[in-house]
Amino acid sequence: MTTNVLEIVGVQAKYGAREVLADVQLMIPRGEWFCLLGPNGVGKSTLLHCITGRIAPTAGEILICGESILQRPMQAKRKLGAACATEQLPGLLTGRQCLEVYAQAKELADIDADVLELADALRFMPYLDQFVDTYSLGTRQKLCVLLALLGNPDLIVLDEAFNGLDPASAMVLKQHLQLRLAQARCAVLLATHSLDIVERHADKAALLIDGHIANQWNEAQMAALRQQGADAFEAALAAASA
Amino acid sequence: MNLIESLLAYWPLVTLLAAVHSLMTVSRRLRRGKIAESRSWLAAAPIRLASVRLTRVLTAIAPLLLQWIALGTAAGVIAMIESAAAASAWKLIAALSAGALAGMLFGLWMPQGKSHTPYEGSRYARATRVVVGQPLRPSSAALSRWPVNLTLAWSRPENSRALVVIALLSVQAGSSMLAGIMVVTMWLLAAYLGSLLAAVVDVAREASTWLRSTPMKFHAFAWPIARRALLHQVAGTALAMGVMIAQGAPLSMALYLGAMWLTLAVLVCAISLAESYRGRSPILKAALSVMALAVIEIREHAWSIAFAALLTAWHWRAGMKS
Repeated sequence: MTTNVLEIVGVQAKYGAREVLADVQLMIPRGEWFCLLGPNGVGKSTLLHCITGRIAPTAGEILICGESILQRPMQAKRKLGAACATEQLPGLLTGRQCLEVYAQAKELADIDADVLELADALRFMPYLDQFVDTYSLGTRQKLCVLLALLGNPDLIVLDEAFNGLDPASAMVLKQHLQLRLAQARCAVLLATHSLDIVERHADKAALLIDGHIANQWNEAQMAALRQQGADAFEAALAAASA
Repeated sequence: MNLIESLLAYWPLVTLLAAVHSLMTVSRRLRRGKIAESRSWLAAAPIRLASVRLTRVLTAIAPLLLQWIALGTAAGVIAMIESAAAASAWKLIAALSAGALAGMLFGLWMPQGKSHTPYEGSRYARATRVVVGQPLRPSSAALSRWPVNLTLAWSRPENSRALVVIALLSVQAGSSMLAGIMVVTMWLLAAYLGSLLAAVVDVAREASTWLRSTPMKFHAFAWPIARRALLHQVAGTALAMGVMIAQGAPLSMALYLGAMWLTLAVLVCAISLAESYRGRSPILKAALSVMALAVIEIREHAWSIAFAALLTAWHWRAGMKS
């Protein structure tokens, strides 16, 4: 039986009078890698902000493992691992301090061994005791992802998390996420423009245009596109965006 | 015009301070200019090296020129208002100009060293001592160091030197060394405590944004941020009270001022932490609360402390409930 880790029902969001999200519906079951696509400024990050509780939607409901982020935010956030934007990291804390504070904020008894193993594999450990404001973009990105993965969350929300990562680190991270998904420990929601990640790793994908889901590709459609070979998804995306 | 006469009495010191100020301004701006050039969108454009050098020098000396024009204007105004003081004003400006010119030329001439030090924030922050192989454990201890680190970052030498100059100039002529040290101490303490309070407001906002997607409860968020900052506020205020008493202020006055400052600090901390946690800006609420505090204090002596205690408790409760 598949259980939905994330359910988004009729979500609307506005910035002042401008409607950014209009009646967005999404279901993401456990073990699924879901990619959110769309041109710049169509509301991808806004949708992720609604899911992580940074923005309150004007209408609709968002459930994380059945807990409403609006009605029961604390319970919902215990199931959530969201990577913050790199510029939101505290520059005057070290990487170690960020991990320790975030683990405390997530009410963890200990810092997960697999997160530390991932940090080692990402070659983050030499930067652990340096201040965050000395980090490069890629190193900050690694820290954001490590923070999101703390506490074995049921839903992992990543916004352009592979930006700035070197190819080797990106591969390590993709393998780590695939392992978590294969063990049905979580679902991954990734907003991205990288079509290679969508083609190779996504179980499902959705195209967001002007605040609503313009098209969705299910597992069968994704498999069919992979069969068609290179550029098939790019062509499908272009056709759906037109 | 007493100030001009007093400054003129110490013209070698004034000239030296102007030279140091000028030297530091020029060398800092040259260093930053080099960093900005390397990041500029025109970095790869074929601009003549002579133009780049001229722009660099003009950018470095621009604030000094503006300050010199402002001083000249002030001297001109003084000359118009009171012709007797005009000569002293012009002499003072001549001393300042000579010092500034010497410092500027030295700053332009001396080598700049490494120009790539963009990590201004953490350069003066204190890193915690870590034993090799120390395991990571969930802890919010770092949150309590954050406001102190931010204050240290803000108080870096290039930001503090103006304060030090003002503090030194505020020492009355003819006063003893001990009195001078006390005056400078009071200035530095006031700057530190004020910056620390502003740092708590800033950290509350940044930390709430960073930790927004976690299930962190209000007390687990607010207390670690406030704890060390409030401890420093209490220690700093006690030291300031001691200095005031040593300078001859009555005990009751020192106690009253200390209590008022701590009341203000606790109130602003509580409002900024509670409002930031709730995702709101604390600025307006804090400003209105401080104004209300001032009005109450003017009308009923010391009643503002009770009012502030009520407001603090109310905001803390609002944070706990959200």
